Amino acid sequence: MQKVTVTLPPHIGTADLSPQPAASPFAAAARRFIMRRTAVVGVLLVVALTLLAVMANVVAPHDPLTTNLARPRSAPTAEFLLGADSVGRDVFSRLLHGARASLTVGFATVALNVALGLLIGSIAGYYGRIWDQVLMRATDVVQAFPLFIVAVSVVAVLSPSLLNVVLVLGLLGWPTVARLVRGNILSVRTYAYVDAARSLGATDGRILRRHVLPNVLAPIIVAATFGVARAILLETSLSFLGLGVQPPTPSWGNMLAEAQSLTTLESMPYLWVPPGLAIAVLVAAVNLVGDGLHDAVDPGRRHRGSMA
Amino acid sequence: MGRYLLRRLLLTAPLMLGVTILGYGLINLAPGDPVSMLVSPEVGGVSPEDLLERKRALGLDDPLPVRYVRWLGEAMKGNLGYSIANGRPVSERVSERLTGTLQLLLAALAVSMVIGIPIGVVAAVRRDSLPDRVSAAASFLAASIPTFFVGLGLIYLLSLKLDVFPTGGMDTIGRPFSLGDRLQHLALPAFVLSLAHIAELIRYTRASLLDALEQDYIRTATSKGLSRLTVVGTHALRNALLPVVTIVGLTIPQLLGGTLITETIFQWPGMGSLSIEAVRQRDYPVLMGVTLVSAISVLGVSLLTDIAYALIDPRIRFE
Repeated sequence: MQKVTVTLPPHIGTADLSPQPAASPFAAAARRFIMRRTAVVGVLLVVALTLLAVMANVVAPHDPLTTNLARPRSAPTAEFLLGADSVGRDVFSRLLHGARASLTVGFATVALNVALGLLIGSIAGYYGRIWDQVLMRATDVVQAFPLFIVAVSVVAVLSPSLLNVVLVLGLLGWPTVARLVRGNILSVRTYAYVDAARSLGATDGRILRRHVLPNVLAPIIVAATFGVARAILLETSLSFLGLGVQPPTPSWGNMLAEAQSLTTLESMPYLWVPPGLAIAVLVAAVNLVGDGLHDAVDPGRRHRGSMA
Repeated sequence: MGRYLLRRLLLTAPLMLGVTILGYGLINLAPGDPVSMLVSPEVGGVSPEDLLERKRALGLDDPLPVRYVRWLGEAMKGNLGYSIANGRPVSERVSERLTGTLQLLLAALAVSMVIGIPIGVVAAVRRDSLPDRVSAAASFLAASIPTFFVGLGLIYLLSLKLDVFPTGGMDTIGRPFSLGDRLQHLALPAFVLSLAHIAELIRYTRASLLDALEQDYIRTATSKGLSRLTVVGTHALRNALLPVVTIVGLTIPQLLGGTLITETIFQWPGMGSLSIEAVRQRDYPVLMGVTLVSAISVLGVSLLTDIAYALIDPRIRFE
């Protein structure tokens, strides 16, 4: 597109019409976000857990994979803060390393979901007609399958691994984003500024990127944040059932799997309570961020109560 | 109503077809085929030609679409193949577990409605009060803690330490069936399964009722001099609970997904624990049978929900 430079008369732009310049919607949302204590706590927790996961090698007192059959399921001591698991590995070190699996699955899955959802939703919403019909029916089919049940059968068939968990959850979890993008595009498309852009000769791609997508961004970011929490919960559930991250690699889900034996459950809570709490803290932190973002981009929500 | 029903049914048909196509695709991803499984690797002595001949005789070398159509024909007659683990028909293994899951699902639905809707109503009527905040915090927690952790915690506390509930199973072994015993076994798994559902119902009921309370007819009813109880109880609530019907239907897939974990933890004999057993025994036909039956039931439930909604709310039918 050709660039047009417009020279404005000198008084425009210097005249201070409003004493305080109106904040951009982004700045206003950022302010609302920072003002919410719970949201900030959520961010700090997520950052702290991510740092711990990244530096697990340095922080962990022991190697998470070293077994010692002399001390299976031994109780916590000063050296082994949370005791040892069924083959004598240090539970505390495994807990630190286990954060990696959760965070990797959480973010990688959502990245895939958002990429696919954006692509499918924008094609359906922007081109409409037959594209919309076909893609939205496909979305219905994917959503008709109960996600967890399908994830279990597909991972079982493909052989369980972290990569397969990400692939399955990533390739099946996009309908939420796709619907969101499509719905927003359908409404934005009718706005006058889109017509204006088209009459100036903007291409479809440019209109989508410059005028439509920025409007859809806020709800996508909110949905993506809750998506991270959901993906982490799904991964821990799959790993708990033996269908996710495979031991000896630690994940909070497969650490909890030890509690499937009633003796461990009853007499060794130090083996299964810490990973369970770790999952709850991480997921709650991500959800706090999501709630904060949701309120920041849609300030009336809390008052009304949200149907979403 | 007839036209609405017909349109809704026509929408479901292609969905069903799509679900079976995806399902069949999944079955074909499973490693191994029935013929190679008949041959023991130690014995050997079977030439590749013989194998091919056998495959041809069984129709296994036909192109995928042909096999799909043949499989669909059999599936519609109720033949979902045979279990690898014990050779019994998949349909038989699935149907004997169906009632277990149904009991659990119905109990969980009842529990979540009995707990979720009243709390949601209180939270809306007394917005920003202490009960509203407590319920918001509780449903936030319920959405953040993995259900299996809650389940394990409850078994630890209520079954192993306090001995109030059994640790698992459907009935006490060796005792004749009694309703009280069954309900005692059902209580914990039903509660754990319903947790996420309760949270969702609270939020939805609250939002829906808040929305209804802002309508003009509420102001009219209040200015007529009706009591707050009548206004909320009959005028607002009846309209607010309509959309809640939909959300109950919409969360059935999630609830069904939750049975995998809940039934496994509580050793409840249902479809959920059956599919996990199938995973552990690499019994792919059973696994796929359960997946397919679940997906089709979910479609059926969403159809029923829509019909129920159209029956309650005539506006839907005439749109």
